[in-house]
Amino acid sequence: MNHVDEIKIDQPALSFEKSPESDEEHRKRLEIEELIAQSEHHNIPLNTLQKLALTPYGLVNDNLRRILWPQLAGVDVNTLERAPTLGELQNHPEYNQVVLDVNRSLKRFPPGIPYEQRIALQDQLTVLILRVIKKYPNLRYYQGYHDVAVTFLLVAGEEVAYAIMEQLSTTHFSECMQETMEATQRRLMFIWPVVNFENPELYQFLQRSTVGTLFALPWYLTWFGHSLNSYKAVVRLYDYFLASKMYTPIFVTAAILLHRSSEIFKEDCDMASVHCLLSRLPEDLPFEDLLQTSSMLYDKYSLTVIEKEVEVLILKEKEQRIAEEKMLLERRKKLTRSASTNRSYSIGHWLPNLLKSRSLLVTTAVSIVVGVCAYYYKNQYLAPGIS
Amino acid sequence: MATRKKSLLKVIILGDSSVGKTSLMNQYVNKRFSNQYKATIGADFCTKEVVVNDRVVTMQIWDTAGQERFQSLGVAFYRGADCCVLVYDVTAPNSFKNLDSWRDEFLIQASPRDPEHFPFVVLGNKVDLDNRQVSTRRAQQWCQSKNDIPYYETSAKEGINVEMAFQTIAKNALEQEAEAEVINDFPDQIILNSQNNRPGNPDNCQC
Repeated sequence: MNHVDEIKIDQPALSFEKSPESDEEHRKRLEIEELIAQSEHHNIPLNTLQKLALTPYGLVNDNLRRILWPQLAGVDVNTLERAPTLGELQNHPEYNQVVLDVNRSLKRFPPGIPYEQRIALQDQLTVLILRVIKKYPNLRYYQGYHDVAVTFLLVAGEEVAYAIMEQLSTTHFSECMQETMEATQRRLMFIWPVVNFENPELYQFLQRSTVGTLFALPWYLTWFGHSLNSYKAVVRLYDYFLASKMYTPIFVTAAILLHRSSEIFKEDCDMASVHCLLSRLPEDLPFEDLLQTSSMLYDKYSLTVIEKEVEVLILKEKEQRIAEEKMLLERRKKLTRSASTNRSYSIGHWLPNLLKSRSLLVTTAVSIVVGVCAYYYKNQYLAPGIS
Repeated sequence: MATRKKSLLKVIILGDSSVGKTSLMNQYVNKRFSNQYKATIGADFCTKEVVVNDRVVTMQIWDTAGQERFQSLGVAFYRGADCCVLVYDVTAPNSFKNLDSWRDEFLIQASPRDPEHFPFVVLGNKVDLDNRQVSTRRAQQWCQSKNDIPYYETSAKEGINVEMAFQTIAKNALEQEAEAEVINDFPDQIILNSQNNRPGNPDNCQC
């Protein structure tokens, strides 16, 4: 492993990995180390590297990732810039938000990490994030971006992590970093046609529940880094995403939904129940299988076809929303009308009739007849008794 | 009684980043505080069974992301809310100033039938900290000016006033819900029986 140790790193390696290496992992590690040893300046041809990252166990461990992630991301480790100090970035308008989120990222650090080291890393994380958004003023920080940055920081160190984040922020995450989340919301809808093509029954169920795509938002924004408890699973997914085309997390999400279909069908078909079930990722997800499914789905369905389906879906949702609003409005109108009618029933209902000339005539006539009758009645029957 | 039908109250918690929305929810539902909470991305929720006016109801508490850019995602779950909890941090004056816009935003997005009388509850959180910056009087004045919103000063960390605040939230949500039901405002959303999906544990929280 001499060739691995030669690589200059900023800080001691942090490893959360407790499970021993499996036979397959061992075999893959040897394969990768062999390739690195044979290559010039540790540079493995990109095609080979991508294949290694996509296939089972990815890049296997963090020592290898430290060397290979920059290459996968297209970053030249020989032209890295020195990081500015935290003080130089304190006036950035997003400074406070970034600090608030970084302070709440304790769970992403290895348990038992010395306090000083953690604080130093958290400062580096803040600097790293602010550096990117300072350099690209059109890119906006979002909560979750820090979850991506911390993953690269822990594996590759401050300088390399910055270069990787710069690269990803202008490609994979640029849509998420727009002024609003609208584009991301629309992108997440790409899940539905894929699920529909593969399992229409599941698609119908999920649509009926009106669950939406909120459950998948943290997955997409953080490449699952925010939502998975297993560090090993997170870095494995990062191998995969670094070697994949943009929007691949959509296909991993679809693969997860398809994998959990029988569990989903057992749930009550309403938004809250389904959201609750989906947003909690099971600890034992078979990620290697899911990633293979995801790759298969990506190859099977073109983004253009999916996009067209999404447009139809958006149109349908819009029509439904308008219909619902109309229904609500009418119901409210009816309600107001009946309320006001109830209140003024005695006057409001009769007055218009009374004022009509014909009804006035009839009313007058009836009154006169009644009056005459009363007079006659009084004279005829009551008068003698009274007098 | 018409109000018997629905036993689910939907409560939305809003407020700036880091004021303690997730912590308040977790203190109320799980009686736990951890300083290891992550920033909330998008939205999450917990459910809790509560007894209000001798009735057992399930409260569904939606916890939201504090960063402004996530607000537009809220429409789907703001709808049909029975009560909205506005949280600020008593040590962060800006989070207090922003209560106005959180309230306005909610009313726009949720578009309740009677915005003037929609139940809000305001919580001034983190009273356990020394560096308080927003006075009780100032907060009370604001609440009074907004149609007498009930106001509580809480500490999610120490569990101060959390139970009491949520009792009021439940009570006001129930009144709102009863009214909405009589009026039959959202008939399509009434049939919710999600409280049975976790047998044996009616209170659950994924955070």
